[in-house]
Amino acid sequence: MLAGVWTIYRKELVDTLRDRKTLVFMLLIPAAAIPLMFAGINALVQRAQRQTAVEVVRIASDADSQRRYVQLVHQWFLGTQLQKTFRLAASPLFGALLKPEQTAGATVPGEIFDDPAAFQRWTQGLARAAREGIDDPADKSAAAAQIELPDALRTELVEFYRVALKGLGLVEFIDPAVLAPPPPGFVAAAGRPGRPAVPGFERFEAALRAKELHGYLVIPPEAERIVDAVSPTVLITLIHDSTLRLSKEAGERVAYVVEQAGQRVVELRLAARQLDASFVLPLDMQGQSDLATESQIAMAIIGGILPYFVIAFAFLGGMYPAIDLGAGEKERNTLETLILAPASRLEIAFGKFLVILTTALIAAFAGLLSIVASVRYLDAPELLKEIQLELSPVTALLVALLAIPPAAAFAGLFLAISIYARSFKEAQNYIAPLQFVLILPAMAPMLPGMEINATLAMIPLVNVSILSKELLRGAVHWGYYVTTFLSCFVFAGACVAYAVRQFSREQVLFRS
Amino acid sequence: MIEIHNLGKTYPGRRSVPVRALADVSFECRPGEIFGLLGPNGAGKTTALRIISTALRPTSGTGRVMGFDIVADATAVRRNIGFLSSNTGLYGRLTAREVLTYFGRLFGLSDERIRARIGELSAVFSMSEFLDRPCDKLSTGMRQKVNIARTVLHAPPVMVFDEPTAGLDVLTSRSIVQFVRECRREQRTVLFSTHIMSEVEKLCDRVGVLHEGRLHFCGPIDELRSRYGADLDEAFVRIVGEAA
Ligand SMILES: Nc1ncnc2c1ncn2[C@@H]1O[C@H](COP(=O)(O)OP(=O)(O)O)[C@@H](O)[C@H]1O
Ligand SMILES: [Mg+2]
Repeated sequence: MLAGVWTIYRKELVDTLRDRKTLVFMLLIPAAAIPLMFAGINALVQRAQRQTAVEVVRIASDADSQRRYVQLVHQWFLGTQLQKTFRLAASPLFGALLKPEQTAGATVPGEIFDDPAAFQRWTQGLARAAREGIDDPADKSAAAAQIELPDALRTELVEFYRVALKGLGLVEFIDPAVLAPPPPGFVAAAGRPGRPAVPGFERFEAALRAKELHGYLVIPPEAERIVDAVSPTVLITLIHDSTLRLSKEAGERVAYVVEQAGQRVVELRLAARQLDASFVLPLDMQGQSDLATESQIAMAIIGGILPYFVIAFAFLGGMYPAIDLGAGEKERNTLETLILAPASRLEIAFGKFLVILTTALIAAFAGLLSIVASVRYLDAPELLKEIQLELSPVTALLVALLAIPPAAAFAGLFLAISIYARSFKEAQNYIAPLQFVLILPAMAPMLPGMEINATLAMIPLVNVSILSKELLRGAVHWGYYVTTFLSCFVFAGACVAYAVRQFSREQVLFRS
Repeated sequence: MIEIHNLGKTYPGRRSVPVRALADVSFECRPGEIFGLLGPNGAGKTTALRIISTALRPTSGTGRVMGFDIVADATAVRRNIGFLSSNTGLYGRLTAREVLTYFGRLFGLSDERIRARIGELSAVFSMSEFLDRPCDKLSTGMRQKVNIARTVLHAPPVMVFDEPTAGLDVLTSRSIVQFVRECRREQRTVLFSTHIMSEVEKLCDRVGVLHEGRLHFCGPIDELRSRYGADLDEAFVRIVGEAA
């Protein structure tokens, strides 16, 4: 029995591995899919970030609104911790400590602390330096964060970048009075009903459509006395079109500035009335009470996605050889010779099963290795990098071994289908749609509240995907682990038994 | 030695209309003799040969090959038969040598014996030059040689040929006809099916005329001539006409 299985296994494996299509499905696709996906996502994200990070948005606004806006940002700036550092840098003492060439690019003029207009000019200067510099300010603040800055300062730097640089330095204001009239024949788009009653709206809209302007800012006078006089909420208007990239960016930048400036106003109001911050925040949740580490949270997310890939790759790796090994024998007229050999049908079916299992496993492992390598050596999304930190060798091994049950289940199922099928094409027609059905259990762990239990542990594929998520989360359920293997093997065994039966049926062997 | 008695085969058929492919067929084929099964397309030749070689089970009747029952001792029967048909395929990505080795192992030969047999056969069929080429890259004639070598690799005492020359060119057909004769010379039992009269005339010692699943004549080729005339085509038409 074993000798027969070995003979068949050896021959079929050689035969299969010489097939270029098998190699594509078994090695190339699983190995290349993840790096390509990473590269694609990264390229997209980076392009979008690079573009908008240092781009100037142009906002129409009359002189009063402009002044109020700058004032709000300045007021915010004076409330930050960072402001103190800049004061130090502006002091003559600091200047005396540094050599002139060291201070050249980093001078902080003293008037920025008292004069909002000077502050605006300064942020514009910083923004220009950032734009002309090699990289974008996000990288700079990230680089700054690398040198072990205290968390608070790190957060402040990022905030400073978002509010002072993106919200002010990288904004160019245009007086709506100087806008050119709309070109002849310009028809205003039928936007939301009720046209905003702002001066020169027609002209603004034409410029917006021509992508010369990105927003129209209106800040009412009440904003100026907002700390002392408690008025109804002051509403700030930024007319924009969120379907245009930079106009959307303008909307987001101004909204962020308004939010931060508003918080600053709250602080000032509380201070003026000698009230504590708790006055406006009477209740809150205690942070740091989540026992899961950041890495564990990351792993739980990855755990939901990983089995999906493993199952998909096992499917891909097993599909093509299975079709070739079963229906292919009929298609090439080799089946009759094979069954006239003294090998038993069980030997034949089992030998073929093992070959499909092998290729499915190779595909799954190739995919896993590629995922690990991609995370380690490519620019992986931040979240994925954490996986390296807490994956013990035992867990890694257990996760890898978990590729075996789905590979076995697919091998059995595909073999049964392939032997039953009349031709290559028919087998393909049966197996290809299964992709969509079999991928469903792979997505089980992405559903909320799916946790392993005795029932789920007995459902092939569902158990694999849920269990591997649990493993990555750090929980090893030995009992369920064994159950998972058993249930998939029983399923595969039933499929092989079915295949053997098909192999003995004349109607199946000699269908025409 | 092949002996079959009252062999019958009914296929389930499509839309459950059973197809009776073989009814009450009996004949015998002895060592050193070529028995020709003659009949038009659909007569039941392939069905009969598949039953004898154990690919199919008979619906009725019994059969023995070298004394082994074709149903109860199927594995023993397989070891004693070499089966060849004109549309037998090969594994295209394997070399001729690998195909022969694979079948040798399936028939339980030792690797040493397989090597020796491949050496002998490659000399007989002059295959040495393409023995290590993938079968995909071989010509029809070369492929047929590999196929024949495969059938006789395990030195079976019984050879079954199902229309082995169908669709082949003249040269390849000729080499097959020579090979069939060679089998007789080696005292093998040879069962041969065809729908071509001239092949029967050239090769067979005894002949069975099959039509619509029934054996209408079974005996030496001379008896066929003396009863139905020297022209075998004519004889065949008369036999079938007699039955109707
Ligand atoms: N697998 C099958 N299912 C149903 N009918 C079949 C099958 N194989 C052959 N037949 C029918 O049996 C009859 C004999 O076929 P076959 O033995 O192939 O004849 P031959 O080889 O002499 O041409 C034909 O009518 C054919 O249609
Ligand atoms: Mg036939």
